[in-house]
Amino acid sequence: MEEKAVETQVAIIGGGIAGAAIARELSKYKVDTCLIEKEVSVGCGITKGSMALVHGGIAYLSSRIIKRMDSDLSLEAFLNQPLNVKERLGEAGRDMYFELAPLLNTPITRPGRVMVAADQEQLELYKVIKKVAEANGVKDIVILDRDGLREKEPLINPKFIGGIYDPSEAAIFPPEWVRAFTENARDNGVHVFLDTEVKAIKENNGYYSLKTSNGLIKAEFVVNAAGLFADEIAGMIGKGDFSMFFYKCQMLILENKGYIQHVIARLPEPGRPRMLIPTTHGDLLVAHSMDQSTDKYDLSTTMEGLDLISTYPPDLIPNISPRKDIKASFAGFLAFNTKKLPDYLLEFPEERFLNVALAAPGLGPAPALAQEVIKMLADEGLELVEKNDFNPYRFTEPRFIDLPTEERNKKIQENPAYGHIVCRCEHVSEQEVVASVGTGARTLDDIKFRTRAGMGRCQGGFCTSRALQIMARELNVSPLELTKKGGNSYILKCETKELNEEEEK
Amino acid sequence: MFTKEVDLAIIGAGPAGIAAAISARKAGVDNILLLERAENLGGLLHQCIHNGFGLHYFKEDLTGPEYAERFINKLSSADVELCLNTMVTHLYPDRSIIAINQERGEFKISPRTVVLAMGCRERSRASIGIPGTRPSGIFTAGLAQRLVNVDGYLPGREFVILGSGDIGMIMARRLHLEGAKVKAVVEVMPHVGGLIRNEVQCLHDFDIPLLLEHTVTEIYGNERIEGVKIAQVDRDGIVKNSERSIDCDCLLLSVGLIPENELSKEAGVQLDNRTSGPIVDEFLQTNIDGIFATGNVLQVYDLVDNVTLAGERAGKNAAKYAAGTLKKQHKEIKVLSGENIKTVTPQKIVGFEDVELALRVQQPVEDAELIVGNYSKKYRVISPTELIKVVAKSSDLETFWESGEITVSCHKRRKDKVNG
Ligand SMILES: Cc1cc2nc3c(=O)[nH]c(=O)nc-3n(C[C@H](O)[C@H](O)[C@H](O)COP(=O)(O)OP(=O)(O)OC[C@H]3O[C@@H](n4cnc5c(N)ncnc54)[C@H](O)[C@@H]3O)c2cc1C
Ligand SMILES: Cc1cc2nc3c(=O)[nH]c(=O)nc-3n(C[C@H](O)[C@H](O)[C@H](O)COP(=O)(O)OP(=O)(O)OC[C@H]3O[C@@H](n4cnc5c(N)ncnc54)[C@H](O)[C@@H]3O)c2cc1C
Repeated sequence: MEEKAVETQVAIIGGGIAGAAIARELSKYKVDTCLIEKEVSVGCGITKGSMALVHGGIAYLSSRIIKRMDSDLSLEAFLNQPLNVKERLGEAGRDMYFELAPLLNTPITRPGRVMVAADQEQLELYKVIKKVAEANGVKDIVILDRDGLREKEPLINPKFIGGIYDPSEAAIFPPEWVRAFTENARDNGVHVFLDTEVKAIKENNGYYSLKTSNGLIKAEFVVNAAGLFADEIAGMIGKGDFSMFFYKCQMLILENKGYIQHVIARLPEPGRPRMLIPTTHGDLLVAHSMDQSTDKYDLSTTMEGLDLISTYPPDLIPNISPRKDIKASFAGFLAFNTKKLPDYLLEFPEERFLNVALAAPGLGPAPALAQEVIKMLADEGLELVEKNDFNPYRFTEPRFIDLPTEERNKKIQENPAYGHIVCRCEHVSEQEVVASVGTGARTLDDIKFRTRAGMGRCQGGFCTSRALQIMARELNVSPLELTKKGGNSYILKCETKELNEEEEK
Repeated sequence: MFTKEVDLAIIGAGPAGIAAAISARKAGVDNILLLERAENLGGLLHQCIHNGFGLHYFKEDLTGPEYAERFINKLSSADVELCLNTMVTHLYPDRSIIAINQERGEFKISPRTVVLAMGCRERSRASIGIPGTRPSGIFTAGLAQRLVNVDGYLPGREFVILGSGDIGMIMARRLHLEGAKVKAVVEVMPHVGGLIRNEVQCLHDFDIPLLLEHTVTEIYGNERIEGVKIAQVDRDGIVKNSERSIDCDCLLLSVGLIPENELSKEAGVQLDNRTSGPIVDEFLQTNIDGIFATGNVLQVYDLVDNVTLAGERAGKNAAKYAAGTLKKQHKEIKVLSGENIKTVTPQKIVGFEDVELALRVQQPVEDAELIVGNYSKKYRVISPTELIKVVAKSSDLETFWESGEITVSCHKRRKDKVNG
């Protein structure tokens, strides 16, 4: 019994930053494209639990230092080696984010990066990095002496004697960018399948048949951008000659009570990238203790991990007390493919089947990666004809609370639901919750990531009950059917009285 | 922007805000505006459908809504303007207020006096940093209370409750009566966090297991919570090899309340590290002229009766301030927390009259002696779960004006001094 299949030219597996950026890039052309994501929302894989930096030049160079250990080259020669694919795309991707931000209506900030030196030796090392960076065309790098460091970050631990400053380091909120790419791709004709897991793939007669949890999809080309699961997807066509390996990173979100302005980092040591990041939301992110991990579903945090991370912030900024300023803790997977370590794996193991198996960092390079992938597909025979009606703009409602007063009042007059504030911490209006249901939010986490209701200090203590009511009304379902993040993550168990009635029976 | 001028604006219409409004009106303030973000008056009381309210104030045992009802009735005859469904979004040092609602949109209020009565929020999982997965099924006890008592839904059927604050214990009983199973109430301290009355009436009377000196060390389950790991705790932290798992489909947190401080901070109101609420004098006035604070926003009260009294005091003093009759000295006495004192309000004394201090101790003490400057008072037991009131007489305060400090402390009476 052959079910009726969806037919398409290109099937992209995985709605992470990679898959979403590729989908949007492809939507510029007259190509029939499907984006397939197993979760109920895009951006819920590795991308969700990442640190959100679009790295500047010295970030790449300084992370090379970790790998220098068993090299005979001098530091300068080692740093001077040609850029690998990841680094090259990273350099190109950064500027593209800034071009895309106004088109996709999605914020990116440029806090810049300050790396601190604990001693003269590290400071000398930064001087070499600056020299190499400048030779590569990276501009505006500054070596900081003690005073210079304090001018950048007045509260920095006095034990640091100086540092290096790179103004180009930028920060994004990754799930928002994945959503932006996806929505703009969809507006330009890409079919987005959510809650659709690819279970098996067969090749026949020039087509790949993707058996999914949601029916059959037949595609001429397949782009495997399944993140952590890219090895398993490749395995489905018998080409599992690599695997994804990953570290579990635990992170804390703290309230940024004016502690820092820049991304602050120590010179990375293996497994201890001690960094403080001011997020686009005005919080502070601290990562991370890293443990190599084998369970792709285990994103639990541990007491030891949280204790360890809690020591990082005071080391950099003594005024911070993580236990007091903490808003949330979570974990993410820092993932790499084994085949091209530490670079990206971009290759066709089979005709018209492209592996896009990344290695961290994968956010910064994503827009450039997407262009690279399109080129590779064209070389593989995909015909690319530009659309003349491509719409590069993604329309988003600005956050109600960010509007000027007169506009806010006009909106409330037109639609009183704007005047009903349902999230006390982030000041989100009822209408914004309604609108996000309108654009596809189905879970409480969807609402949270779209509107920020539930992300504030009280972590949903106030808005949960209200958001559930609004969602249930808008979706015309019982609140009992609503979930936190799909699957079995229901929020309410039953109506009151039900358990006692059960007992009586 | 539409601007409204009033004599007194009160932010929050819980028991504290309502009492402040009624008493300010009684004291002759004409033009009062009461602002409340919820759809009804009464604050937390609305969801507290159990009894135990009003034992002191009315000498009657009322439910939360019944208690609220009495004041709401008084309020309706007091000619106070109400703005429900109205979120106050800003409060500035010049006392001006920005609020949003459906009828007026965003508007400004220019009050001569302000009473802060925003109450508390609950500490969340994040703020205590429990490790583990991030499934659904973890709620603060107050949110669960709202879901059950107001919305009519049970958030689970097998519960573990972390923390033995009053809300947690009351919810344990409520859930038990709803036919759910409360497998354990887990408390890190050697005593419950809430009232002894609630320990007896909510836990013991229903055989709900209370595990003192225990905590939750991990949360399991990917989509919905499936269980927690708990462990014994002693002075050095978690006791090795004492961990065990409990299956549950819901975890409630009753791990403390934090005053809603965002508006206070924005207005430049100084906060007390110990209470986490504003620093006030005995008139409940903050460091910002004309801004008063009362109720749970000032400090966490356990009995609503005391909240009402504090609200009345704020209202009365706000009225005096508006009339220019608040009598203050040009100096102050700081009230310092000494041995075994966790919190004390007011934090400073500036007037000529007797002052009622409200304090909490850190550790329970039997045969206790409470010392305020040169004055001392004996107690058979003093417990951290109770807010204790003592009066410092103006005559006793006289010697402290010069140093500008008075210390409050509490310790065990020395054996030889115990007489019966
Ligand atoms: C702690 C941490 C910090 C990081 N910091 C940075 C940083 O600062 N800067 C930076 O650039 N990078 C950073 N990274 C790395 C970056 O986040 C990742 O490289 C990038 O997000 C990977 O994106 P992706 O699209 O490849 O994978 P994913 O986001 O995992 O996307 C893959 C998608 O495929 C879906 N999928 C999987 N299997 C199937 C299937 N069978 N059927 C359908 N769909 C499927 C998944 O659900 C997922 O949504 C960090 C990562 C971590 C963990
Ligand atoms: C579960 C529970 C059980 C209790 N049981 C008992 C008991 O048995 N007996 C007893 O005597 N006491 C009990 N209490 C204590 C008592 O109910 C509280 O101490 C009392 O409600 C506190 O009053 P409040 O007015 O200070 O704060 P709240 O009642 O919290 O009121 C504050 C009000 O301010 C509003 N507000 C806050 N911010 C804004 C803003 N920005 N804009 C507009 N409005 C705002 C809020 O919506 C709220 O209505 C219990 C408390 C709880 C939580």
